[in-house]
Amino acid sequence: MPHQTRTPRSAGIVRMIAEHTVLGNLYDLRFTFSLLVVLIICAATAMLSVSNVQERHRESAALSQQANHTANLENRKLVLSTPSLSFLFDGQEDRLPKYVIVTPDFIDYPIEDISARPMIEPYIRVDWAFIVIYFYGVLAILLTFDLISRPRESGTLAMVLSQNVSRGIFFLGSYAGAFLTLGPAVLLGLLIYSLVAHLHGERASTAGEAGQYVAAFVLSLLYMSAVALMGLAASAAFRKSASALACAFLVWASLTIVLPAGASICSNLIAHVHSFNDLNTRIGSARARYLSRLPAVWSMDVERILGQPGLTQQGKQEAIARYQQEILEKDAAAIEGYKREVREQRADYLAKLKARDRLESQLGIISPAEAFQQAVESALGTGMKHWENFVRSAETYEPAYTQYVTEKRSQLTEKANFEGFIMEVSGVRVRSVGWIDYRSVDFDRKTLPPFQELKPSIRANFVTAVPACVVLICINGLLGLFALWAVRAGRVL
Amino acid sequence: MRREAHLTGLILLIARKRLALNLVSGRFVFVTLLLLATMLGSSFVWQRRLSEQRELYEAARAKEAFAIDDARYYEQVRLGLHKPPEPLSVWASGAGELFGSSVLVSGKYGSPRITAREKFEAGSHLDAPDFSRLVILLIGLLALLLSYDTICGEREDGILQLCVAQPASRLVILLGEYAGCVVTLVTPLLLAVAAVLAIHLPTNSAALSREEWVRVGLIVLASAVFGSALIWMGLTISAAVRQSSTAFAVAFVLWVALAILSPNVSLWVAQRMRPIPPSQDSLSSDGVFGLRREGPEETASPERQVESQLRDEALRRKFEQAAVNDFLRLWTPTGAFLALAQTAARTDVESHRNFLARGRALDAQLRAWQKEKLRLYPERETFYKPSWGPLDISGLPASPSVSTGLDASLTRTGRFWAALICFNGIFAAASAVAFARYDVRFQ
Repeated sequence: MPHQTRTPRSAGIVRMIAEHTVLGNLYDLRFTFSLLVVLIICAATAMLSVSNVQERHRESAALSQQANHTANLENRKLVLSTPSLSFLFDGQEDRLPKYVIVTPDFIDYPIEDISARPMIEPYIRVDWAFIVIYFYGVLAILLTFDLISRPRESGTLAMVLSQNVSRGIFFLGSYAGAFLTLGPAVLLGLLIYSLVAHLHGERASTAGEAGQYVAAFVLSLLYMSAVALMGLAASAAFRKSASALACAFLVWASLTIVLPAGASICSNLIAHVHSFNDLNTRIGSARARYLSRLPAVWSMDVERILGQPGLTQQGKQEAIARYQQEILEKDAAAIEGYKREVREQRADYLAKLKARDRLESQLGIISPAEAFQQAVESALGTGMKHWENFVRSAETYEPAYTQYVTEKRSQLTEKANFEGFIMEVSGVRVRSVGWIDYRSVDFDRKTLPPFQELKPSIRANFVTAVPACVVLICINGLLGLFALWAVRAGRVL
Repeated sequence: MRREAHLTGLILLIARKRLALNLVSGRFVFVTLLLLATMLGSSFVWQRRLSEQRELYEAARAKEAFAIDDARYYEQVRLGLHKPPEPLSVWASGAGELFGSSVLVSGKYGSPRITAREKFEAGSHLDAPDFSRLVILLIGLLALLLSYDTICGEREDGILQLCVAQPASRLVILLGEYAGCVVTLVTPLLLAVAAVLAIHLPTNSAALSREEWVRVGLIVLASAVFGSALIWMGLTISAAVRQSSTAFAVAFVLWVALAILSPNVSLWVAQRMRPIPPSQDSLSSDGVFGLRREGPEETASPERQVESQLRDEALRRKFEQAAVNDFLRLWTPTGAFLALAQTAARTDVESHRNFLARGRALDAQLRAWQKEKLRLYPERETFYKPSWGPLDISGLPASPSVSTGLDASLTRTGRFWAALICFNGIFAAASAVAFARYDVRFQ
């Protein structure tokens, strides 16, 4: 019975403190001014983001057309499309390759000359996630850094706790009040963002996409909650509000900016990938080996065949034809051996890059901002997740392309570009081939097997978002426990 | 004289007090440790990158020398001008190879081809900030953290009222606080410099020359002047608001605006003002198998010439973007400092421009040489017979030196020094005016 009477009373006190906190925030000029600025930034960011996405759509369409036109029997380029909700979170798609190169038995990525890159790499994203992490994050800290320290400074905390209100209840009420202030602020921001995007032609067109919007909102709230708990913990740990503010900002900046950078450096040190120059050197060695395996065409061999006693003219022609066939077979074997070595080296290099990237995202996930980004990326199917799905689609397509190319090459061998030389000895011509290039062979491109990008279902996207979401919830839990401990252990007066 | 000595004594007293308070504060210790850790990590990464760039440079030069030795007729003779990797890129990386690092000239057989030795692959680049960017981020942050609550924090504690009650003018108090903050800031800055040198010197195969030491000194001095400007900014904020929490919020927003947003905003504006038209060779890479076809023998093909023209046009636009960016950078202390550091380290856009100009001059010299040789050996332009013997390459133009002299660098840094000093002056004046009107009462 005492427990039953205590619970409604505790709930009532929590509600009272939460209401007081919410009202205090709403009347605080600092909060209302900051929120107004954030909402304006939401609208501006939405316009910029939509403009970027639409530009990327156009570029992707133009590149796809160009890729279809330039597909050949050496390779086919498959262009990355732009996912529908990437204006919410684009996952730095500008830094990802725009296309993959499908060759027989291998999928490669483009290698660009760095002088062809733009001056600024768009590594500061302009999207909803950017607003949540940087602007709403700062807002959450401004809201919560003095929720405990200011009542302590003014003496109110002592009076409240003397009313038989436990510190835990006070903390819970303050947290609830902060959450109830930030939640509607985030919702308002997302509504403005969506409205501006809608007016510029980007919107959720299916129920599934609407569900993804809701997922982005829920994940934003989880992130905001983590930052609010950071602010509350700092507020409880420091006596002066200014010190609490400085600490909260430093912790936020460390977790948001420094920790991901540290994860990148650590992953580079732990899972070091040999430089591209090293790969180039290995490919150079493979090339030297392939050149040494190319058979030499000697005039004395040809003369020896022609000078064989007892051979008729037809016999000589057949002998020369056999010699030629032997040369071409050895040429083809050397070329194939080189290609195999290059594929192995390249595949090894790409696998190491992938392992390093995976380690980086695993190390960085302890940052709430990184966990939030990974969860949103998975839920929306944009950024790296979109890229991984695209590569899987290309891997599914590659066997069909290989089969098609093998058949076509056998039909159109004579039209290929044979790099090498022809030696003429005593009126007989023998060819030595250093490389066979099918790029310029003309064929009907409409007969190429069609490429279909596999788009995972919304449900599959949500499932892949679960681990990052769980990490975000755990971060909330840990920060909450720490904040609670700080409140319980801190001085009241 | 006695009065001046008395004033100096007061300033030193206040400075000592501020120094003592700052050195024991948690934020100073935290940011200093963070600065040291990031400097060490970043220097290590940049040093490794420098070694890889050196290997690429040596390989490019060796390849060119081999190709010249192997040439059998005059059309095969191509020259290359290669920009060596800057040893001071650890301090300010600048544009790197974004404007190209090799100019391959063919004389009468084609226009100069500008390429970069470094290849870009999505996900393979580790973007570690260099020394100058870490100074902007962390020294800038520390400068603001040390100074944002010097006035308003002391007012809240009741100390300021007592200070002003002493026979010391407000200007003297302000100068004393400033001096204390500057001395505090110099300590982590020198530690950061020591950290970079500790990584850079032992792993550098060639020791730094006297000129390079002077350049490093310029960068360190510029860092101190930049930190000083931000301390004045922090003092201005502190003298303009009543509460230290408000001062911190304003200082933090300014730090984000200056250290994170402004370098990118100026580049973004420059890109919008001088856009580069989309290239028709966006799908030009054939991946690793496409590397086989790179080489001077391909430059003569019509396809490659069109690609080359498009690339040259894109490069010209990039230079225009860089010029706009340089103009916009002058208007913030972070931009001015970054530009100064890059100019001192010879990684600025102007050094690339000079390098490409030397490449074009080499092309003209090669043309003249080809004309002379073909006059003597007209039959050896595109044909070779073993009985003719080796090719006569006497008088082949030598690749000129590509480094920028110290005098030229010092001249170019003049306007950036002026900008930094102006910022110091403006913020110092603003803080003096704000403090002169400040209500120092405790409540």
